[in-house]
Amino acid sequence: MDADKYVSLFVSESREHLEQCTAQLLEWERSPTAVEPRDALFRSIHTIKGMSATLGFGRLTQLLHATEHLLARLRDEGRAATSGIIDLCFRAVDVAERGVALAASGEDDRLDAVVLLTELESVLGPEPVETSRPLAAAAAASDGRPIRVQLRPGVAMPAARAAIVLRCAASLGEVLAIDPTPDEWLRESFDGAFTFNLRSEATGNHLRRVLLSAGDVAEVRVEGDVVQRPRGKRQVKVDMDRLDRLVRLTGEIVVARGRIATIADGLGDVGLEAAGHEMSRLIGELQAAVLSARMAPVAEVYERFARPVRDLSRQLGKSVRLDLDGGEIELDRAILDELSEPLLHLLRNAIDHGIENPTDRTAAGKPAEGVITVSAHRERNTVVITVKDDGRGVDEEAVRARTGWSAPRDGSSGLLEVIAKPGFSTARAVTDVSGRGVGIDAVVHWTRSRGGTTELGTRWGVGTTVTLRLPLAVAIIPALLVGVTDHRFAVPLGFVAETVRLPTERQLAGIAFRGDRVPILETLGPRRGRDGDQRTWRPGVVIDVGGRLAALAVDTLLGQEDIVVGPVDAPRGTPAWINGATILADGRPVLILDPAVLIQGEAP
Amino acid sequence: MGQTVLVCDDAIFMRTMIADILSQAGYEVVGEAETGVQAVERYRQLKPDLVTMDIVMPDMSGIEAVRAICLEDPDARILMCSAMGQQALVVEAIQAGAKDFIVKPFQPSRVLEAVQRLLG
Repeated sequence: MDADKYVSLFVSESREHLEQCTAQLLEWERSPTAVEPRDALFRSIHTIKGMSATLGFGRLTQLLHATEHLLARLRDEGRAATSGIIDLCFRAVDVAERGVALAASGEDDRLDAVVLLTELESVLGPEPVETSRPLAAAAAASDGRPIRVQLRPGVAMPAARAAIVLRCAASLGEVLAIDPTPDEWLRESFDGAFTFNLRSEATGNHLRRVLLSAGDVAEVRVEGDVVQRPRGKRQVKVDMDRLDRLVRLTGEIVVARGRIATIADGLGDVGLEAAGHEMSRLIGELQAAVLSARMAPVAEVYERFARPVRDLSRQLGKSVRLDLDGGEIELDRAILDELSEPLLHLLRNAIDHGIENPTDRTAAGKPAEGVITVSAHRERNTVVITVKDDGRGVDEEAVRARTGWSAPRDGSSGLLEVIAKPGFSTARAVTDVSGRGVGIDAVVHWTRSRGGTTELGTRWGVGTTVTLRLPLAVAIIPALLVGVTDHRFAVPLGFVAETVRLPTERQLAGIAFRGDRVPILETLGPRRGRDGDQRTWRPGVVIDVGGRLAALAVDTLLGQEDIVVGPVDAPRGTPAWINGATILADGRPVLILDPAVLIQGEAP
Repeated sequence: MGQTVLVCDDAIFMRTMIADILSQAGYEVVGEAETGVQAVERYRQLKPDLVTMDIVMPDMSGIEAVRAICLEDPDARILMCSAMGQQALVVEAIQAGAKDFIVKPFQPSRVLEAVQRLLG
């Protein structure tokens, strides 16, 4: 049997459910008397338990069962949650997470949850003697449409048949207040008649038809019809590998199209050109469609933050509110999947080093509760994600004392490089949370490897903002191709503001551009050109990195082209401003520039 | 072309009998499985329109097989083959995703009635 496949399915689904569990627990903690979070938690735990049991993970199943049982008792005994119970559930979810990981590596038997199990089983005290439950049923009876089903007399296994009826009903909506309860159907006395309430938009006729399809149903009575509403969007889950394959293939088609276009241009055949344009348009649409299939909202990552922020601020005795903004902004899934780690780094930094403890905050005239805002928004071809806190900011004094660094006059961007150096830390004591200096440099490195940039803004006493700019889609990006001597480079179009002429006759440090003085970058080659170049000007590309502009001197502008970008492990000695390489339509390699690094190189 | 069926039962006798009833009615029995594990494997290979599933089978019960199959394909049409006295297990199988059941000893008419209900 292809056990690996189950296990990986189990792992991915369980993680999804466990994430939901955490979200529900946080919600429950806010309103301990609410039943929705508890019931949703119950469903998630139950689902994981079902999978875990199917895969034979005995230890994990036992833990999940105990948790589920605790939740069921709270529900059945109508008890509100105490903070102790919710904490216990948090711990159970944590241990279940570990259990899933252990089970995945075939080590379910290493899951040690004896203490937790005992607590889960004893926290509510002994179970009450079974009493009749009509009260609960009656309480819920006002919800949904009452439906009465009568099975054919003498039907074999009425409980099983009734279960099928119930499943058919559940396909239409939420089933509530089943009477007699499914447990009671197994008794000899069950005569095949039962009632339940159904919360559903289905019409009475449709409902009747669906329930009759369960077989051996003699009669269905439905009270109260409602108008049918249009159904929601249909969705399917698609394996990431398949999407990756589509993206790769589309990328190859784009490249092949480029090759054909190059040949067609040389032939001058009008019909061929027209067909080529049509093909380009269709491929463009295909590319957009494939890429959009890979997009997912940032909210998916946001969901993972509430819990660590809560735990960490508790642990450090700080009061922190987390505001999440722009969750609907979409990013390529490949980037999104990796995004939570760098963002968690930043959140940990913000809580540990940024936000002061409540006493210090009050003394500084700030509200006792610190606020960390994570927000996302689109900016041209990039998604900008900021993590902002209203804490004490980076102590530039301390940085200066340690490194001899002095702030550049034009802003604080030089600070980032200093504190991003591996091993740097101004933390007064290295805590187990952060302060080992591995946070920010890992973030900077990751963002860069994904074709993005990191910026840091801070004001002592006021707070810190870290801004990550990430490409919207990793796979195919439009770029401006430029030539310098025999080399060709690609400048991602998302960073190109304009192309300009740079005069060569006078020695200039910068040019006037949109009313600003913009520095000239000669990183790729001197503005003056080689000997024998008689031009009075050379082309320049004005790059724009988050509002910082610079004009990059080049030899020739070669036009715009879509380039396929894959992560590249650059060999040692590669200049930092080279972000990767790709093969062009005509088969020649081109180096991809990192405008952010080019501009930073220009900083005084 | 006939709709395809995978027959899962640890007893050759039962498999043969069910296969006979179904093929005489025009269904195409494309595979057989004698364990739950096999049932899951065959289902994945054959993607049959219908599965008949015994409850008690070696190395993985029919109920677990149902669960495993439905985990991959929630729309799998699985007919449980049960014996008298197994009602609680059948209920469990239905909760696991089985779509219908028949009770041994099988009457061909009851078997076909259930199959038709599932295949529509």
